[in-house]
Amino acid sequence: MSDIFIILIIFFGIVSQIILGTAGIYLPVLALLIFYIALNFKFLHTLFYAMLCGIMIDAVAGRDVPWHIIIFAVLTVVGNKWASIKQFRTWYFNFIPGLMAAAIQVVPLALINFQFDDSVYFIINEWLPVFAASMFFAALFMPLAALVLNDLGVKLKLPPYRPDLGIMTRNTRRWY
Amino acid sequence: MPGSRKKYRQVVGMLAVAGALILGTAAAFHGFGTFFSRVYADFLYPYLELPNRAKNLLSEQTMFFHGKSTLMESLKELQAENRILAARYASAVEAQFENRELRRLLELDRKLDFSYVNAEIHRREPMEWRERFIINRGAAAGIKVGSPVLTFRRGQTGQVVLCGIVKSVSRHTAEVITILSPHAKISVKLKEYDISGFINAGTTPPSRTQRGEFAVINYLPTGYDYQQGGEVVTGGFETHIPAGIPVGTFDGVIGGDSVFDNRLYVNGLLSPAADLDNIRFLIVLTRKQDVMVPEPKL
Repeated sequence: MSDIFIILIIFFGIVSQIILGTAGIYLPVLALLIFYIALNFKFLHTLFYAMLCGIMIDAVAGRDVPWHIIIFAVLTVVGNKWASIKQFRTWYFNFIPGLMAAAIQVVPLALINFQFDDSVYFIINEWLPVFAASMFFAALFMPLAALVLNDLGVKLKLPPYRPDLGIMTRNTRRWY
Repeated sequence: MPGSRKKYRQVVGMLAVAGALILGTAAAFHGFGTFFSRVYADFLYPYLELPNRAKNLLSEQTMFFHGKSTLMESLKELQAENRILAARYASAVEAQFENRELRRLLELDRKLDFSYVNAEIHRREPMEWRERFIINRGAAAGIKVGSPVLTFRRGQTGQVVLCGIVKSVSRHTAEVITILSPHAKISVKLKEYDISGFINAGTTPPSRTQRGEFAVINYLPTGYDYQQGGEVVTGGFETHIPAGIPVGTFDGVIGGDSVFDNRLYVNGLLSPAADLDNIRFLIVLTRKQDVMVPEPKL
């Protein structure tokens, strides 16, 4: 059941990223959702889904090099580490991992697309808005995603994802 | 101590499995990538096409907000434009017949005929906005790899210009690479000088400056006083791209004249005629004999 829940989250992430991308809006929806999965699933389990997402998103973009496999693997490690920091469990503190996850996705992609003879104007004009919009979106989306998905998980009576980090029940949620 | 050793072993084991998973996935990426590309291109096609359909429906519905008199005026304008286009078409058909007859008399090879397929953008990636996109027509509409893709000239709707070429085709979609993609290698001709070159044939990537993005034309002959602003058209070297389609304007020669520069040929910049930031309608040219003819129903 938990796996179906996670697959639905991934499906939502991929489809929304494709539709927004076609409209010319780059937002790291999938990176944030993978980070959320990393917080709630065990490391290798998350890594498997992260690899799957990496292939799928690079296949959409037609990239020759699977950059997202590396980016999502890093996100999984960071997410797993973040889950062990207990003092930031309050839901609104999720803007911090949101900013981290967005930066982990956008900065490497900007560096990959960068050419050494690119003008400063091009970098400011093309990448700064993408970076700023991604960070702003991530700061808002991550706490909301954690709030909504946790609530949904509880209402669907899903088994606790990370028993090592505490049992998630209707009254005692893991995040807050 | 045994506890900490066990934990250490678990961490090392986990890292080894994670490393193997990442390497395995990266190694199998191309196989998986092809599989998922097909899933997006054909299986998910109807769902990913929904936003386009919604956009078109909304665009059509806005017609109802216009007054009757405005619609009538628009209709009259369109009818007048249609009459002009019909007259031009009749004249073009006559010229085509004449051309065929002359070629037959001179015993020249028959000129290739092209048919036109209308398309719209199906998917686009913001990170490669001006380099690549997916259109909503594929092999089912007769599109082949290498077919030229045309769009309207920047700021004008009366003239079509080359936008890019088809890189790969699935049943319902086709991947298009624009002339700003380093992979799009097309022969071009500088109309003013009547000389040929090749877009993106060298190792210099397209140039991105404050004035915009430029494709690089390689292998232009030396000894010419190249001036900015001349029209660049397709060269006709490729059998599936007809000659004479406008591509853009020449923006000058790049590279110096030092001993380190190659003096056998020069490279230049090309400013694309197509507005690659804002594309909606596209026309794909396909060779007539390549178009799949539907089986007759018996």
